Amino acid sequence: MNKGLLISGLGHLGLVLWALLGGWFTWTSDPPAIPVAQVSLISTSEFDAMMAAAPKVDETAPTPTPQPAATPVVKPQPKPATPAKPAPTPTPAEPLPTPDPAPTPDQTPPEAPPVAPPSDTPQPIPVQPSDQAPAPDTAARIASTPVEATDQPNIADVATPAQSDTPSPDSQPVPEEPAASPEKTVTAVTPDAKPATQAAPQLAPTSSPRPPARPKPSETPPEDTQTAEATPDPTATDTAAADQAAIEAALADATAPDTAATTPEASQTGSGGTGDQPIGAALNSGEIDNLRQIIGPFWNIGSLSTEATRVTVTMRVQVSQDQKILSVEMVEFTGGTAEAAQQAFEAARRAVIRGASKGLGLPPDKYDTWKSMLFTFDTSQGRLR
Amino acid sequence: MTLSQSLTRLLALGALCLGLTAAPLAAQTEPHITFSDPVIEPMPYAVPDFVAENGGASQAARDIARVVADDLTGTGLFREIPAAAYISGISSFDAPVAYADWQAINAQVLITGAVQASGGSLSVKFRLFDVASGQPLGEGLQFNGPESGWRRMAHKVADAAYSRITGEGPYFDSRVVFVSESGPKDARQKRLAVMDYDGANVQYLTDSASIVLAPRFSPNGDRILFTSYATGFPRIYVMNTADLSTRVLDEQPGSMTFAPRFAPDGRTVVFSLERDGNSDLYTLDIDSGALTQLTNSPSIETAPSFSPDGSQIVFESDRSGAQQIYVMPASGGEPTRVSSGKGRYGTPVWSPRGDLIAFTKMADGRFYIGVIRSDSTEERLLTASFLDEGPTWAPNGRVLMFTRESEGASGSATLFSVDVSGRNLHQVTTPGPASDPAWSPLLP
Repeated sequence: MNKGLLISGLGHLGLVLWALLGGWFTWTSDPPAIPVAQVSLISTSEFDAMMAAAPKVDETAPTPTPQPAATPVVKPQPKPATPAKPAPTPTPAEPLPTPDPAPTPDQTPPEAPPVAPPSDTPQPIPVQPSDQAPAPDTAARIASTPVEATDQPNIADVATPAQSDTPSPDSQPVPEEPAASPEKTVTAVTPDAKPATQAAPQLAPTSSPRPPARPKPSETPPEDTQTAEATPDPTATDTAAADQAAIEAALADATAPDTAATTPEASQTGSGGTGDQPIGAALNSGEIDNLRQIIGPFWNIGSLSTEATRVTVTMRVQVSQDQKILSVEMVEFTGGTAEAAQQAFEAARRAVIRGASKGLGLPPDKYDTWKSMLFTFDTSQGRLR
Repeated sequence: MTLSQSLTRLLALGALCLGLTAAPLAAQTEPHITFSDPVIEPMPYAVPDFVAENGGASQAARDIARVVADDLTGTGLFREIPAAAYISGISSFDAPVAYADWQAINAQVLITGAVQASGGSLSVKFRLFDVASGQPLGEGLQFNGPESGWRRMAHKVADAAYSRITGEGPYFDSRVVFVSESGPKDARQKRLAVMDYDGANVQYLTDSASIVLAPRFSPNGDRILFTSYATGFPRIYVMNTADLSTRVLDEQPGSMTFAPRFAPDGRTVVFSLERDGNSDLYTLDIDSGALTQLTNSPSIETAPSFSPDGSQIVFESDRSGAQQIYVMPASGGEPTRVSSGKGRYGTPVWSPRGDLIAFTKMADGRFYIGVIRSDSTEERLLTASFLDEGPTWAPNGRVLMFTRESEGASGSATLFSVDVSGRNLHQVTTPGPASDPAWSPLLP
């Protein structure tokens, strides 16, 4: 104890002495010399003459142009500005319990008011009773896609126009595709809007989602059955999973030339590949930010319901090697009903499809990484209340 | 601690470490990217003139497409792409859609339709397409009706499109009863009128022989309650909209009745009754005539409105010394104060969705239309002006209509509409000054 105190005391004493007397050991009488640079001054006229003699800059040379800003966001409408004049005494919308003597019917001028109503007579016009009112009734439903008139039994009672019977050669009706479980939240997207002119192997199937090489349900990746949050009915989930497996198998077949080396096992592991393929490297922050810049401006929730704007959806996006969207599937949602989530999902899906229409800007060498991605669209920053 | 316990803890610790190590590896298998900055702007859409499937339908085909476009654009949620920008048209209702042409002009939604006229009736059918994904958005629908009902059919088409895209309930095919005003401010004449929600098809229900106030539709739209000074004192009347027959709702000698509103069941009316200088809330069973007093307070209670499920009533009262909003059980009982901000609150109306209560607020010499949750949270002011008052909800609970009066001797009342988000404030066109709007339910 005493030894420690002694060492501590000596140390502090040394510090105090250094502070008091240290300057004597480092003090120098002459300050260091400051370097001085000679600067010559010229007049304004001399400067102008010098500039005039200098070679001119090539104005046609390319100059960096600012990038266009993202799609402007419509801000909430400002409150109407009215002059700050004294407001009248607040008057209740309903008559007060002790109202002033109200004008009696005799005090009211009997003639019609100067404001001309649509009908010239001041007499009241009866509202048409409900049975006489034009009551549009939802008649037969129409097929969701244009089809041959003869293929539309739902509107068979409607007189078919002549042009419908003889469509022009360039407007052949498209046969209606089999509905692939429309209640599901899985959408197989045609990679391009011009299927007739695109190479067949790059396209999603347009005729049937059930190819011959359909895998057995047991080979379906287990995560497919985890989308039950959007399909509460467990029996429906099985059906949906089977349909999803068929669709994914069809998509896999359609993209076989590009992903032939990818086995189901590799798909399950995501970034993993087969033995002769390197494991995909993770996307770096710059690549992720670039993806946000490409898709984000198209994510428009301005036309969503107030409830849908409270929903956060997570979707799995599968991308082909040429960076086309193969499928968009909602995997989960929070903050609203299934109906609201479907609306929010549709808005997000539109953003993905529109943003990807000109490419996603992803590094080709990391295809194993980004061939399947999870996108979460969180509306908390822009939701309506 | 035994050896087995030690081993168990060691294994658990090892498993935890392994899990913590493996979790990030598993997360790397699929990139997970979060988007958190949505754009809020109107959705661009295209609605070409509907196809006239016979000669008599040409005008209707154009007019219906225009009304559909006006409905959608009027919500502020959509932006119509002008026809001049179209690359391709719709020559036939059954022709396949050239999605690429509509994508090229940035249309996100396309509405196509066809109209057929025969024997004084119209048949209108339409389809909705999601241009971005190149898919139809739901099934096509067809409406049949008389030629005179072409606007209603157009509203039906717009309602279907609006609901499919936004997820909101429809409201275009609805009507609004209001007080049509005329004459100078000091001798204003008022009469009841009804119009489409967009101001079209105005029809007058009463003459200007007596002052009328505060009309209210019944839940199914077959009757209208209103207050009239026909006897010199305010009395509640009920009008049958089919034949305009009118009768006094209930005769209470020596009293004044006003501020009526139907219960959701359509059989009960809640209103204010003033007797001996004091006003309280009462309900009246229309069938039996049974009168029930809900409040008994020396203060002024008025402007009652039922919750959509009929279990509660929101009303205004000055029992605290200033005009505030309260909620109480529909059968009466201790009220709970809802409004708590600075200023005075009045004319509360419960949203059809049940989540919000719209009100008029008076503070700092200005009037506001606002909404607040029934649990007294999230009060928001949507409008502000010299005089805004008397909000009414659209059938889907997304839009409010109210009266805005300009100041000065020449000032007049007009009807305005605003989205519940506070956006899309715009005037509703009426033939003349108008006030006290009340939205009908969605028409059948």
